[in-house]
Amino acid sequence: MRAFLTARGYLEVETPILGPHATPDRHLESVPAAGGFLHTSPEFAMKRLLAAGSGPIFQIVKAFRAGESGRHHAVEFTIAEWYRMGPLDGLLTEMDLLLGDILGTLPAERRTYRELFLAAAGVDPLTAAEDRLVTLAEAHGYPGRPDDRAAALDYLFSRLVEPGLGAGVPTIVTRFPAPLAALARLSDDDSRTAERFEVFWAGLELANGYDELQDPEEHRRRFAAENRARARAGKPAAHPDGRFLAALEHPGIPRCSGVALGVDRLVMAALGASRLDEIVAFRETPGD
Amino acid sequence: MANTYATNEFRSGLKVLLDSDPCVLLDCEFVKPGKGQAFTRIRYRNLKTGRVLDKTFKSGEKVEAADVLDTEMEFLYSDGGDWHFMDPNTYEQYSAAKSALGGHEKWLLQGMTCGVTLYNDAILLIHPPHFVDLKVVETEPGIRGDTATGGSKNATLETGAVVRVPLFIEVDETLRLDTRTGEYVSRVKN
Repeated sequence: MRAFLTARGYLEVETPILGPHATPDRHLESVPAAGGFLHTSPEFAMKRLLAAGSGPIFQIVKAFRAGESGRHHAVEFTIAEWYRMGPLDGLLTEMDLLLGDILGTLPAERRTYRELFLAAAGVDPLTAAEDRLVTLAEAHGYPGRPDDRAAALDYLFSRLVEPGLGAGVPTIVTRFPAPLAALARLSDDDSRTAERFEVFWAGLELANGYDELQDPEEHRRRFAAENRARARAGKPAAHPDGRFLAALEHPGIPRCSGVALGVDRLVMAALGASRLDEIVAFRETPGD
Repeated sequence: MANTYATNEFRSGLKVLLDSDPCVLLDCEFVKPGKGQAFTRIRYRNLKTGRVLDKTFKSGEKVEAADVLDTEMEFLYSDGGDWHFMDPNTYEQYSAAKSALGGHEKWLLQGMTCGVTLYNDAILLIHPPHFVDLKVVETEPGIRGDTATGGSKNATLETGAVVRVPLFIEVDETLRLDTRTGEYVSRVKN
């Protein structure tokens, strides 16, 4: 992976694993350490390097997510994350080549979130009323009642769509609904979708990426929404990194696309393993 | 305050209360779609009904522990309505209604040691030994020389159970039976 990215002009970087800020992401919990937090991904620090003019960069690093432990999850795991200039096309083409090198797979089939969801659930994820999505999630065993559109969509997609993805060739799911934009920019031609993608192989998510959001105000709005959701769920607020927000203002991050890939899962896929335990030598992290 | 288990403590074999019934977890899986919410999916058996079901929890949810204990007891007697057992360590006696026997009462012989599932210190289920040796009290006369053809006939055992046995089996012989299939296994030398 290093050779692949280095040969394509990416500079390998290192950013701090221990920092002062927890992630504001509503569904991620940072591990507290030494008065601060271990990072859940190197995303914010790498974007500060991009703002500082680093050009294309990559990093292969350990990341930590509290409470995530299971067949395909570990509290401590390895992320490969890289960023290149421009919109998604170049990144997706490289992803095909990288997966071809490591898994021996043919180029991925690219499917929009909307077409996959519509085929599996019979409901349009962009236009269906929230009530309809909520009721459908309940009918498929959602515990309790989903809080909002995003929660219903996420649950239904994971139950009905994901298990069948990446059979034969990898699947790249594109154009996620706007409520699931995370830190992706909205599509230029349709504000109901975001330029976020995920890569699946044999029903397992391997990678998640964005055509990166640049607008500082929109970042603030999305972080505030995450913290409101955290408050509703009784989770502590997480204040975003002020230096990251400042870098978005000035000089700003260039138009770029980035992706985070689960290295442990890629190794599982390459070896045909069905559990992380089969490919990691140590499974001793507290909480795992 | 009842003992509870959070989803991160879920393990197969755990006994919990679901739908107000004691259940045992068979399989648990942590699932977290993309950047979405985390869930724990379980497969469990309702110990009362025997049904196997699936359920999804939000990670962090808690369920009440079920006071379920698997132990062994000696079968004492049946008074027609209830079946009576004794804990061989404490000599404490427990009675079980027919529903707890699940049709296994026909294998029980006085003094036999059985698996017992206790729920809130009352008998929930009886598990007879996988193999029991029981005497034949009634069957048609044996037909010598017909051991090879594999024919069969009914035999009534000392517990009242009626099973299919080979034609050469005689009254007063002791047979080994598989209680899971209800089938004859072999003769046992007296």
